[in-house]
Formats: sequence, C-alpha cells, structure tokens
Amino acid sequence: MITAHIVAAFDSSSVNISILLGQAIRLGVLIAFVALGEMVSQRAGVLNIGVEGVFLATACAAAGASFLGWGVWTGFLVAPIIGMVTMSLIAFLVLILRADQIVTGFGINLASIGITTVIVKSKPDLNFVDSLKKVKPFGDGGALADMFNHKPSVYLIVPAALVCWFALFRTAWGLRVKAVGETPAAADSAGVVVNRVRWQAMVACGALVGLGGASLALGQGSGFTENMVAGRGFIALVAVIFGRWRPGLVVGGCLFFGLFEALTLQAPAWGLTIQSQLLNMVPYLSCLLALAIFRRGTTPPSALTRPFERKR
Amino acid sequence: MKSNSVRSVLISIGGIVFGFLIGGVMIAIQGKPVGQSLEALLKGSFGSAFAIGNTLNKACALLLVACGYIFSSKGGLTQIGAEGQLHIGGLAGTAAAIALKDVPKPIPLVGALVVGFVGGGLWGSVAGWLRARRGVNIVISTLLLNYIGLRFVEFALDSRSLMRDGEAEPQSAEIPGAARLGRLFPHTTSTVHLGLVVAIVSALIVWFILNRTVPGFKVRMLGQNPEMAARVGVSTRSMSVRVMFIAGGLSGLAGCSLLLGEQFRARPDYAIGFGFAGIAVALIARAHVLAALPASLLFGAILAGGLRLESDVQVPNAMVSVIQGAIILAAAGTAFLLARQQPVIADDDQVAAA
Amino acid sequence: MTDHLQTSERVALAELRDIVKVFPGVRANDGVSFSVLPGEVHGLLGENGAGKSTLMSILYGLYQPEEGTILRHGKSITLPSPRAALEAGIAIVQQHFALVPTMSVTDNVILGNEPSRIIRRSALTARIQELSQRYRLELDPKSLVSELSIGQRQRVEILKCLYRNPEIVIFDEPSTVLTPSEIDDLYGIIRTLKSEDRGVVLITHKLDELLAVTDRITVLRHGRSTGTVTTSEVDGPTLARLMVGRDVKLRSTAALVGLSSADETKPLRTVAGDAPVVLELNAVGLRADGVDRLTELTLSVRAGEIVGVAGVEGNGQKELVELLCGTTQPTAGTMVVSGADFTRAGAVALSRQGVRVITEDRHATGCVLDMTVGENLLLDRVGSAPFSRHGVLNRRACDTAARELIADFRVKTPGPDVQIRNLSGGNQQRAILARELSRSVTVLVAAQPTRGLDVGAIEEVTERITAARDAGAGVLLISSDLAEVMSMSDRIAVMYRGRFIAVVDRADASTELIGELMAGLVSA
Repeated sequence: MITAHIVAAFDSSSVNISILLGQAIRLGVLIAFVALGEMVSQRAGVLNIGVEGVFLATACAAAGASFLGWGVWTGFLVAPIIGMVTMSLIAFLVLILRADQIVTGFGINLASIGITTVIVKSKPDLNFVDSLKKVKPFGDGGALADMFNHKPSVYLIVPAALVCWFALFRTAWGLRVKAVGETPAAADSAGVVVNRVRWQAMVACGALVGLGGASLALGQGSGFTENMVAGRGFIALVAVIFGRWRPGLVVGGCLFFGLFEALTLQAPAWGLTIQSQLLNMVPYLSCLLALAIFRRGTTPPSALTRPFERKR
Repeated sequence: MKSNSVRSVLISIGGIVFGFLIGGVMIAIQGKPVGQSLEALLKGSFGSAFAIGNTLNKACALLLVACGYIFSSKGGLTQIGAEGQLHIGGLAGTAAAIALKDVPKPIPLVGALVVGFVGGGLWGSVAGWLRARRGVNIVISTLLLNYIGLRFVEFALDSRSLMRDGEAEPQSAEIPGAARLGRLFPHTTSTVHLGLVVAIVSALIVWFILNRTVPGFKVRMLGQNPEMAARVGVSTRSMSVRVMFIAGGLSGLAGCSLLLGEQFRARPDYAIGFGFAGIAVALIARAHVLAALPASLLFGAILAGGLRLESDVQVPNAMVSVIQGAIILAAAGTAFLLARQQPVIADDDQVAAA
Repeated sequence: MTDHLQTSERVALAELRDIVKVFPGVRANDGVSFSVLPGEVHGLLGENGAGKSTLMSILYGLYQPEEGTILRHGKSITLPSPRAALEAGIAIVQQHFALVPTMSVTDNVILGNEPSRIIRRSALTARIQELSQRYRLELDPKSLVSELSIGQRQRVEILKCLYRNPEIVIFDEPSTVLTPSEIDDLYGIIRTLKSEDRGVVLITHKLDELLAVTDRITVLRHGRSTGTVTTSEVDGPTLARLMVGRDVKLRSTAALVGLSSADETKPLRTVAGDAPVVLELNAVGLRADGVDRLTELTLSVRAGEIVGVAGVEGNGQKELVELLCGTTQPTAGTMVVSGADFTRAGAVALSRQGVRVITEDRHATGCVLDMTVGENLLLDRVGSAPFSRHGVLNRRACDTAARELIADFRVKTPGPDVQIRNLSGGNQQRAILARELSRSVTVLVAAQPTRGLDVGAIEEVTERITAARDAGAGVLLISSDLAEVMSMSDRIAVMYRGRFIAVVDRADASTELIGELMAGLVSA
C-alpha cells in the first residue's frame, strides 16, 4: 500500500526526484559520519550506544564555537575535539573500569541530553549562530545541482569514508583494530596493547562523531536546539549493522535512511495521503527485516561488548 | 556473601551521592542556589501528600519496567526494548479500556490491564522470536522495535480510523472511570493509585518466580549458561519468546499504570523516556528485584521533584537527566568492585591456573 | 641448580630466579628457578597445575611475579607485557592458539610486529613463504585461519614466533593436538631452532617427549621445583617420581604420564559377548553449514564394556558428544538406546533413558559456574518430585539431596550454597560426576574426563567410570589421549575426519596401529 502511494506520487508532476535525492544525501551524510565512527569503534569490539549523546554534545560544542565568534569552521575543529574527549571518558569507563558498554552508553546519553539542554536554556542564542553556506559546484539549476549542491561539510564524507576504509584494510593499525575486536587475547599475546588500540579506535570514533555533530549544528542546521539529534545516533548504530561493518555499505545504509527521512519531509508537498509516521517506520522496519532475512555476513565482531582483561 | 551485599549497597549510595554532586556543581556553575534547588527537589518529591503521590506514581511505572528488564536479563537477554513495549502496552490497555466502557466493573479495569500486559508482551516477544528463530541480536532488534513502536503509537493516535479523538492534538478518547486505577487515598491530595499495589505485587511475584520456582530456575540457568541449559532441555529457542513476553508484559503494565492511573488519555510520547529510566532503575538495583523497590522510589522522586526545580528556582528540568546519567555512570563504573571473585576454595588437590 | 650455569661457562639466554606467583588461594609458583642456554632444549615437566604454564607466562610477560627476578643475558629485566617479552626476543607457541580466525595467515603472522604502518601484502607474503619453506612449515599465506586444520594452525603459531626472529622459543604443550607424524615434524623444527643456537623451552607432561628431544629437564610439583637434571642422565621412572612425588597407583595413570608404555597395560577384563547392546549408532551423519561433520558412524556399545573413541581433537568428537547429549540431532542414520529409537528424541528423553554425559568442557557444558554447588548437582532434576511441587521448589529437599551427593562423591566444598565457580577443577568434576552418576546409568559418555585434573582426581574419575561399567553401564570413552584410551577400553574406535575409520578389539590394538589410524595414515 505504501509503495502504491509512493509510486503514485512519483508519477505526479509535482514531484522532483532530484530534490528528493539531494535531501537524502544531505540527511544521510549527517548520520554517515557518526556511523563510520561507530563502525571503527565496533570493529575494535566496543559497542558504543553513547554515540547519541556524544553526537549531541559535539553539535552543542560546534554551535558554541560559532556563537563565541571563533568562526564556523572552528566549530568543525572544536566538535571533534569534544568528541574525542568525551569518547576518552567513555573509554576510561568501559576499558579501564570495565563498565558495561550498554549501561555506560545509556548514562552518557542521559547526561548529555541533560547538560546540553541546560546549556541551551541558559544561552538561547545558541539556537541561531553563523553556519555554513551552500556551495554550488554543479551550477545553479538542474538535476545535478539539486542532488549535489550542498553545504561544504557534506562533501567531507567522501574523504572520511576513504580514510576509514584505508585505515581499516591497508594499515597496521587497522589490522590491530580488527584483531582486538575479533580475538583480543590473540592480539595481546602478539604484543598488541588491546586497550590502547581500543582507546585509539574510540577516539577516532569521537572525531568522526564530532564531524557529524558540527555538520548537524552548522551544516544542516544553523545552531543548536534542544535534543536536536533526536535519535540519529541510534540510527547510525543501526546503519553500522545494516552495512555489515564495511565502510562503503555503512555509508550506503545511511543514504538509504536519509532517503526515507527525505520522503517524509517531501510527502506533504506532494500531497501524499500516507501518514508520515508510517513512512518514518520504513527504515527501521526494513533494517529489522534485513536482519531477520539475511543471516550471512550479519555476524558482528566476536569480542563486541566484551571487556578485555588479561588473567593475572 | 553478606558483606558483599553491604558493600553493594554502600557503592550504590556512593553513586547516588556522586550523581547529586554533579547536579549540584552544574547548578552552582549556572549561578543558581544549590541549597534551594535541593529543597525544591525535596518539596516536589516528598514535600506534600500530592508530591509524595506524584513520586509514588512515577516510581510504580519505573518499578514495573525495571522488573521486566531484570527478568529478561536474568534469562540472558540484555534488551533495551522497554520504551517500545511500554508505549505499545499502554496503548493496547487504553484501547481495551475504551472498548469495554459499557461493561460492569471491574471488567474494564482488569480487561485493560490484561490487554496492556499482553500487548507489551507480544511486542517484546517479537524480539524474542527474532532472536530464537533468526539469530537477530536482541539489543539491535529491541532498539529498532522501540522506534517502530513509538511511530505506531503516534500513527494510531493520529489516525481517525483507529484511536484519534477530537479535533485538537492527536490523542485518544478519555479512559472511562470504570477502567481507571482508583486512588488509594481519595480524601487527600495524594494521587497515588492502585497501580502502586499492582507494581509491588508484580515485583514480589517476579522475585518469587525467579528464586523459588522451577521456571525461574530454568530462566537463571539459561541466562548463566545456555549450553548447559540446552543439555537439560531448556533452550534459548524455547525460552526467549516466553521470557520476552513476560518482560514486555511488565513494561506494558507500566504504560497502563501511567495512563489508567494518572493521564486518563493517551497522547503520542505519553511516557517518553520512562522505559529507559526504568532500565536505569534496574541497573542501579544491580538486577536484584527487591533492590529495585528503593531504586525506583529514588528515580521517581527525582522525576517528580524535577518539576519543582524548574518552577521554584528556574533550573531546567533537564538537570534531572544529568543527575540520572551521572548515577548510572557511577553505577557502571563501580560494577567491577563487586565483580571481584571470591578465592577458589583451597584443598589438597589444588588445580592452579596453569 | 645454578651450578649448571657455572659448569656450562655460558651465560644463560634467560634466567628466572626464585619466582613466586600467587593466585587467589594457591601459590602457583613458589620460589622456582629456571634457565635456558643458547642452543639448548630445556624441558619443563610437571602435572597439570604444577605451575609450568604459570612460570612460562611470567617469562612471556603475561603474568607478573610477586617475587623473584628475571635475567636476560645476565642482566635483570622486567617483562610487564607480552610486548616487552617479544621485544626482549622471547616468543611463545601457546597451547591454546592465539590466532584471529577471521584474518589470513599473513595478517596473523605480522600482527603486532608489522614492518610498516602501511601494509604491502604481496611483499610480506613472499617473505612468509620463504620462512615457511626454511622450517618446512607448509602453508598458504593467503588462506584464512578459520579454514585451517588444527595442525596447520599450530604451524601458523610457530611461524608467527619465528617471524620475530626470537632468541628464545617457548612451546606450551605443543603435542596435545597433533598426530604422531605431526609430532615428528615438530621435533624437527625444535632441532632446527636448537642448531641455530636459539634457546627452546618445551612445556609438557609427557616423559617420552622430553627424553626424545631435550637437553635438560626441570621438574615442577605443586609450584616448586623438584630438580633440574641433564636428560642423558635420567630415566622415565626417576622423572615420574620427581613429578608426582610418589609411586603412581593405577596403570592407566602410569600410561597417561608415559611411565609405562601404553601397550603393556592390558584391559582389566573382557566383556561377555551376550551382554545387551545399550547404545547403537547406525550410519549416523551430521551435516552443518554445508559441511559433513560426521559421516556414517556405526558402533554398538554393550552393557558392561568400555568402548574408547580415539582420535586427534577436532575430528568430530565434539559433534558426537552433542548428538549423544541430544542438543544436536543427526541429519542421517539412527541412534538406538536400549533397543528404542532415540535419533530425534532430544536431550530430555535421552537423559530419562539413562544416557549420562560428562562433557569435555566443564565450564561451558558441564556446569553453571554462577549457580551454587547444590543447584548444579540438581540441574536436571529440579522439575521433578521431591525437589519441586507444582513448579515451586522444595528448598529443604534440594538441600538434603545436595548434601548427600557432596558426601558420597567427596566433593570438597564448604557447603551446597557456595557458587561452583569457587571450587577447584577436580571438585567441579566430582560434582558433575555426582550429578550424572547418582541416577540410573544405561550409557555413560565420558569426553576427555580427566583433562586438566591432577593425579589424585584422575584416579578417582577413572575409578568412577570403571565402577559405572562394572555396574552394567555401557561406556563410551572419548579421549584424544591415546594412553588413556588404550588403558581403559575393551574396544577402540578411531575417529578421523568425522568417521570411525576403524573399530579394533583391545587385544589387537597397539599404540603404533592406533596412532597411525588417528593420523589417517592407514585405513583398517
């Protein structure tokens, strides 16, 4: 039924697919930074539910940097730094104190939503700060422009994904990350300091999440609003599983999620009668179905969520 | 064993103190009066019969969610689906209450509670089934089901053919009096309702099932060693659906207690965050059902008191999340202190860790 | 002990002095000294739990000693981590392979010692190929470790060590998982290492191995060194006495430690040919994930006999045990217990029929570590009277029964309410035996029942199994320890790649024959 509506909508002349796809890219890329970070972290064996909170904190930090007049691009520096610091705190809890990763993530999410809300309520000016301007490398009109003209932060995803891929599959560090996520005891006895590598992976995750946060506050939005992440961190987590821990697929998964978010935004304009809640449900439902139907390749890194401790 | 539980209580109290300290520091940084904030928090939670009622009502929903979470985690299913189960269960209970409005007492209330339990339970079972039959990671599936559930609740309340009532905000019709959880002290300002009794009785039943019955024994065995459990005929397959049904059902009851006891009308997001807060209660209680009683009271008090925080001293209600988050982080970060194993009992044929 | 060093006039590559290592409740090493010279193979002998692996884990930086010093070329050093040990030229081939199954051989070999930040796999592959040829370790560097056999995985482990060009190589119980011919290859590698003037430490509890390949032997018992001897000057019985500290009682135990040749120990009795068949496997097969795990297993076990299943680990024993537990169902053939078909009956029905299983991995499938001793003793029985009524536990009945079992099977525990995790391995195994053998036993399946136990517990477990046999149970003894199988069985089935490639009467079996069958060198 839903598809019938969508197809019907596509047939009508009011629909501009290239605008839709452009929006999908814009929304998908936001999640993709975070998803790439989460992927690196999970590859190292750390399931980081706290990305939602870190995402929010870095968005707030980016808006703050812009608010203080440090310049918009400084926000793209400050947010990753805040992301790395927060991730280090989580790393301290889950790696050194061996706290449960899921519980810690919960705590971080709650604390982050609390702190950022308190901040934005006492400084409402954060709601509107200087943000990035759209660039137009694909000209002023036409389908290509609709699809590929974005705020500059959007294009950052390409180098980010390439670096992630190269780091994981072509460097010694990537080898170690995969080893500590898969068989930490083996990595340890090969002389790899498991918790150090995991910490590095989490810090890398923090940096990527920070890029996402800055993109959210200064690219997608123009400032920080209360709980502006609104579950996108969790979607990123889902996208990692959807993309089977591979950079290309993970980004692809994010674009798929972005497409449905864009659809719900466009639906009213197209006069679609379908209720937005149902459309909103589709990404989650399809992810759940994909998990249920395809069993191969959906196995996470073996040591995911398991703290490492050498027997003493 | 005894000294261990004393330690555990002390560590939990330490974590709670830590949480309030962080909150206090943040309030101080904002230049707001710390002492008055605490006073406001206390007034809002225990300062009057009304405040106490508020606290208890929140606590009872949290307790039900926590019991569900504890039950499933004892069975080895670390799931975070309470949020969705709660909303779906509450919605189902509301639908039943409205449908049964012309039926004699106490059928509407009992019916609504049963349907609420079943609704939440079925929502939970989906994750159990996916895990048992399709091997889907239950953290992931429950996370997804939360979103799907919340969207469905929004959809149902927005959709005229389903539950939407009136022209204003999307919301359900009012829950009829016969289906409401009655006030325990109708002649006072306290709104505490029968849901409290339901929650405490449920907690005691969960404790009894886990510790004194054969099914509970099987659940614990499954949680601690699924391979061994399979050898005596208890498998994840056979149990996950049932365990998740009960866990989801308890969360569903929590939704019912909020709607049938306090709000009397379902709105989208009517209990947003309650599922996660309930899981937090279970975590603070370190998966002990009886410890969840005081833990839920504490979190209920923080939630209730948070309202006064905003009105009395202009500290944003969100400070409550900061305090909760800090308490959870403290609980997570100190868990290792309790995990220290007791020494191997020495004997003459000692086998070392060789 | 230090006089060896003085007479040898060579500085030891590494020396451990007066090492003390305490684990909760036990002194795993209690003042142990040990050294290894260049071009020397130094054996480290001791029972399970004597502290051998602990000592070498200290030399490899896995554990930190409470007391004592570590010297390298005569200079005191500390080894806070395996990394530090590797940098100091010390490498270990671990008993439990430390490999990442989802990565290739090359990636595993270079892990932790990558030549550059960016990996150029083609150059590395060539280098690894060269290394594997020099030591005659045939391997394809590109294949995934998860696709390799156990023997091949050990080669990867060895290659990983040699790639770092260590001066000292420690082998921890390397032969446990190997076939006899693979063991010969291993000796060859050890001799090559020795000829290159490296120091080799060989941890084992098998005397014949030590006598075959070492220069000196240090014996540990209960965490203490009972002496360091020159191999050419000692014989087996002397070593055994040093190791066990008393004369060894059972013949099977003697065979286990290699004191007497397994061939000399004859079966204790012969079975009447007309005893009823209690367990029958008819062409049983198991196919999982598109691979045949078990193929056409046919075997019958009579009441009152022990049928041994010999074989190198990983040839289908685990799957066979799962079938007999009822946790997996065969995909072909039938399983008959006492004349009735139990092919797909499942765990509960098999147990009801008296099929008792002692699984190989006590912690994974033998008990629930976080539950109490009492709960573990009654795991499979709580659902029935008198332990519960209408689903509610009768705590008094449970407690009484648990106490009786604890007394009967001499489980050393402060009481039934202690978590079984806190018991020693031997006592955990006693508790498991108590659970499995305290009810009617038609068929007893015992998989590696004595692994990891000390001599006292081994004797007791062996006696219990024999007693069950004498009481009329049919016993299936699954073991990768040839000596154990040879000394206890009336008949021996040899498992190789998921098949019984031969079933031999004990009278016709010799160590050589079974060994060759285990290696798949001959088919009967």
